[in-house]
Amino acid sequence: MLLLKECKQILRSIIYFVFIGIVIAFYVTQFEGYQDDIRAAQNPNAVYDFRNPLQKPPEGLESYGVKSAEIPEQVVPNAITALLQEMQGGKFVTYPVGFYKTVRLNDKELSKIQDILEEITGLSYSDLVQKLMQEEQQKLTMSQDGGWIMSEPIQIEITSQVSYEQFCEKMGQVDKILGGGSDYAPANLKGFGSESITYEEALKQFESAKNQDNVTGGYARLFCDYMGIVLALFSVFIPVSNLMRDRKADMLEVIYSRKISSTRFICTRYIANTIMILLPMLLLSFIPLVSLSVYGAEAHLSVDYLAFVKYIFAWLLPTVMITVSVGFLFTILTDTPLGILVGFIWGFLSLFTGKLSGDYGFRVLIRHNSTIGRDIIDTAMNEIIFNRVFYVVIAIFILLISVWIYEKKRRGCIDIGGNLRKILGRIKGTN
Amino acid sequence: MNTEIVIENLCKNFGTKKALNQVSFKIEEGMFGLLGRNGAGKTTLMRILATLLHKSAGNITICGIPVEQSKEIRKIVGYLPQDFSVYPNMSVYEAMDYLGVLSNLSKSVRKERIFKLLKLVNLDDCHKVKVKALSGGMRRRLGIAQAILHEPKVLIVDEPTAGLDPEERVRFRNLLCEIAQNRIVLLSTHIVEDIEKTCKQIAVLNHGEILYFGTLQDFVGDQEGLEEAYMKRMEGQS
Repeated sequence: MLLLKECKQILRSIIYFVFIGIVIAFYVTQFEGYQDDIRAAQNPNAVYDFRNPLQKPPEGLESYGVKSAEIPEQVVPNAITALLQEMQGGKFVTYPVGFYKTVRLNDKELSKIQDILEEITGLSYSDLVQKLMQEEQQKLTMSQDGGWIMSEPIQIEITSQVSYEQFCEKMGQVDKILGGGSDYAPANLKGFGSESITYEEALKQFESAKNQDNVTGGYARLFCDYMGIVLALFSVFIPVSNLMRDRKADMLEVIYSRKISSTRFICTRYIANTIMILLPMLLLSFIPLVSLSVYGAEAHLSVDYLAFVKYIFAWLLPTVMITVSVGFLFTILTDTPLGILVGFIWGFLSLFTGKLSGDYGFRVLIRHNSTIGRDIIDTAMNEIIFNRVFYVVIAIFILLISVWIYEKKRRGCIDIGGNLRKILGRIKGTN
Repeated sequence: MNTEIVIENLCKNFGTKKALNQVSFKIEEGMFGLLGRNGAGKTTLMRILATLLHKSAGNITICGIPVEQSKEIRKIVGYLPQDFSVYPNMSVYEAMDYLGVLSNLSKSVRKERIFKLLKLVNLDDCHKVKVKALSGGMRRRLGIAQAILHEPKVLIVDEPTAGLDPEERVRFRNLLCEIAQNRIVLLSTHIVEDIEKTCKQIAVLNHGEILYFGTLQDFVGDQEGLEEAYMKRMEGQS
């Protein structure tokens, strides 16, 4: 009964409706592409797109798409060319903590990079610049609207004087000079190489989507990827506002003096917040599920009707749990909306300091910004499971601490919020 | 179970400030008045009895239960704080129902008692009215109703008539007297008239210490009324 009442209270909150609005906006602007995939799969004349898991690759195509590949013969010249271009432009683009940053180097640092380039190529920096200019002139062409564009990607011809391992090491030094987060970091060099996807690879991907993902799995992952962003950034507002309303309504003493145990009270509110945050996503997932299920039935394919629910509970629930726990802890401890700041910053950093897939570790949200690439998930399954279980355990632990603090507050043993208000009052009085 | 509150050598310190100092007295069934100026320590004492504050020293038992056993105490104590409030967007019935759930009352018990109590406090016609639409007096009456919803043996009422008009104050005092049958009602106030009209036993608190404990009659003595006796006693302390 208390659970229902708490859910009802959350439903009456304006902040909750704003949250639902954000969820819907994110869904509409980011996730509606599945309908194009269905239409393309149903149209035998549609152009093949390897990113569409529903489309069977036709035989005999010139290209089935391109994927990143760490091919030294491509990586070395492309990376050197990009580095030369940035040096000529006088600024370098990096993403040290996931944020776009431009770096300008002093003469000493530029000289170090020039030395590295000379070590790799065996050519002087001025020779390399000349090669770059020649390449640019050759490939510069006028576009239809009168502007100048490159007819092909620029790539200067060089012969590496060092092994690929040594090249990676030297690029790492460049990355260090730039402050980290550049494309020249050894882990990112793969982005300078690419290879075509073969028919066999494209077919394998299609078969995987059909037999392992059963039409809906890939879309469930992408859905959770986008919803995870909303959860990581915005869901903390709900538990914080939910708890703050007791103070706002001056109801703390009335509640504290009640017979209900702190454990039951806080845990019930916790469950209510978790349910209400997940509920819009569960309901929204029915929309693509219905469309994909209808497509699957018409195409005589096996459909996993529970894919969205499974991924929501496995991927999103731990994120919700930890977010609500953090919101509860800081609100109960300080009687302030500090939990919003902590939760938002944590979600923001987690979101912008990771890759779009395949990089799980201790990130609070699981990212996989694609309907394909199930092999990445399968390879990292243990890491994902560990991550999710870790956050569930931590969430419960933080919740128990919150219950303990709440009971202490109820008995008048802790009043951090009150002390903070006194300090702020003194500061205001002094000012 | 003895319906009494026994307080022995109670002390409460806030840092170096002694809010309560060696307070000792006993409260038995019926209306008991706790009188004192603002800042005398009345609310501190009320909050300790309601398990909202930890005592620094001393012993307190409520109906034989030590106040440290907060879970047991909360079952038998009802509390109406000085600044009583509930969620403004709830209706009167919803607020009572919610607080009834927090008192672990079953649905059938809540349904039976809520209407009975709203009738007692004259809010039965307002059960659908939102709390924010209630007047100050109506909110206090709602406060009394929620405080006795779980049928406590002890009702602690902190400054219940502050801010009410004279008519509401009279109504409220009558309500408290009605409720005081078979339970302790501890009424804390700085308004002398509230005590004079309702309590036989009183304690007077001043700067955290008991100035007087005993019958109202003995306190008044030869003075014309409680107010005069109280003022004389306070002047003597200054």
